[in-house]
Amino acid sequence: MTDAEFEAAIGKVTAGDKTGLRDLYDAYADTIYRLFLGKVHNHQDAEDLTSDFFLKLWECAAGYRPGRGHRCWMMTIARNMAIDYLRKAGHTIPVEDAEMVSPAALTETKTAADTVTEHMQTEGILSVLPEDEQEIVRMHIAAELTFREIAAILKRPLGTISWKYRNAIGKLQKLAEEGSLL
Amino acid sequence: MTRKEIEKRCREEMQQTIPDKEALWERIESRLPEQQPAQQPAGKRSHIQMMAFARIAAACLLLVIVGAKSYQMFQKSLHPAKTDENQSYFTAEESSGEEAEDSPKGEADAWDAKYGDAAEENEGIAAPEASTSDEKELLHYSDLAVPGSGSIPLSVPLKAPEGSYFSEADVLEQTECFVDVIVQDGVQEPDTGAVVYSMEVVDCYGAEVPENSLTIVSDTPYLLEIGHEYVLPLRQTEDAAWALTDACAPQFERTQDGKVLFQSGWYSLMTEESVPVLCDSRGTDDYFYDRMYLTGYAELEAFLREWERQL
Repeated sequence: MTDAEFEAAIGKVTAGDKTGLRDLYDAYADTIYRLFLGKVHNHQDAEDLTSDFFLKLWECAAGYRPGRGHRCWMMTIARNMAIDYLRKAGHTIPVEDAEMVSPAALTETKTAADTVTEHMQTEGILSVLPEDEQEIVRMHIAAELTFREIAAILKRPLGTISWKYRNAIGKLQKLAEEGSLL
Repeated sequence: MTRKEIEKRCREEMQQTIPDKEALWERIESRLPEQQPAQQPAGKRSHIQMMAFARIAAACLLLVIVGAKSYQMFQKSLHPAKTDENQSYFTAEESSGEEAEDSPKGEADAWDAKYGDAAEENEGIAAPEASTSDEKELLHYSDLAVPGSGSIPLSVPLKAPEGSYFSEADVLEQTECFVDVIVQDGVQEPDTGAVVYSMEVVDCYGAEVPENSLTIVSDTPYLLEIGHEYVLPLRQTEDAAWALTDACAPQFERTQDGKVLFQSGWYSLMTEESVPVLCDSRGTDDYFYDRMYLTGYAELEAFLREWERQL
């Protein structure tokens, strides 16, 4: 959806026309769902959050200011909703998950390699990455956001985002070379 | 597995869709009637509506201008002798009497070549009857919001390889990634003449380059300048180094006010909004100094996104 198409749709929403929201839903529901799924790791919760997201769009459509990038605006809303949800659910990142950031260390031993494999079977290949790298990879690949947009959403320097993304892909590549990637 | 394959694998893995999209929509819709959209203050229109009115007004204005212009062209074709005084700025300059004839031939040729070609390519963009607005339409490189000159000193002159020419389709097909870079340094190798550029990577489209900094060796005569920001099409060479996909034309250059300078060979980027920009000629082999255009960076970004999607 281009900015102009988005503005037309959000204009309809502001005027109370449901077809505008339907247009937005058709264009972005799957992307938003994938982003939530990446955060909450549960299909039902991701669906609930997606539903809440579009209701929130209905409520706050008048707050959109044209010319600032609609995807960035929507992803910021989605991300904040996911963070609120995780806070409410008392979600914390287990230390052992945080330690998964070093695939090189994990693949040094058979046990570690098995752990990587198990994680990938249940959570997908991104699960071997730390949360922040997973989020950047998802935003760049699934939501098709540029590094500049991601940097704006996450409020981090552009160079950091670009570096973390390359670092994440490099880790997966290394695992693939070592034969640990499913 | 290459980085590209890894990214493809990630993309495939992230293709999950909502199991029953229609059912979810019905769920959302059923909750909508109770939730009215945010009401706007009475008598105050939202930005969206204001923008819509502005767009309609602009479209009407454009229609009037186009209509008037068409009528004028029609009149001109019927009565060519009557409209001589209305000829374009560029044509007027080309035939502006004795002064031009008196000037040295080289200068006159250069002037004609610069403005003549720009006029040809700019046909239909500028309003020819108002010379002041025409002058505004044609920019010079020095007018652009770019850092000061960061020229790299050359001990050996560089020339574009003979028989090479730019083709958008070929470049897009051979390119593995576009990188947004800021040139940090450039040194010419005395033996090969090629320039070794050190760059800081700002952004990437397509495949990712492995480092934050990038070194590219190139013999392009369209030298990159230190401190300037470019968007470069790159491909990987057999020895896994990154190289410019095309070295026989100027690269995209970003300005500090959100625009991008490009050469007319990127025909997909050419729109009526593109503004011609005159650059200083780099010499007799510079085929692009009068074929450069300025457009918004958003246009280039959309173009690169589309290319990325088709990878």
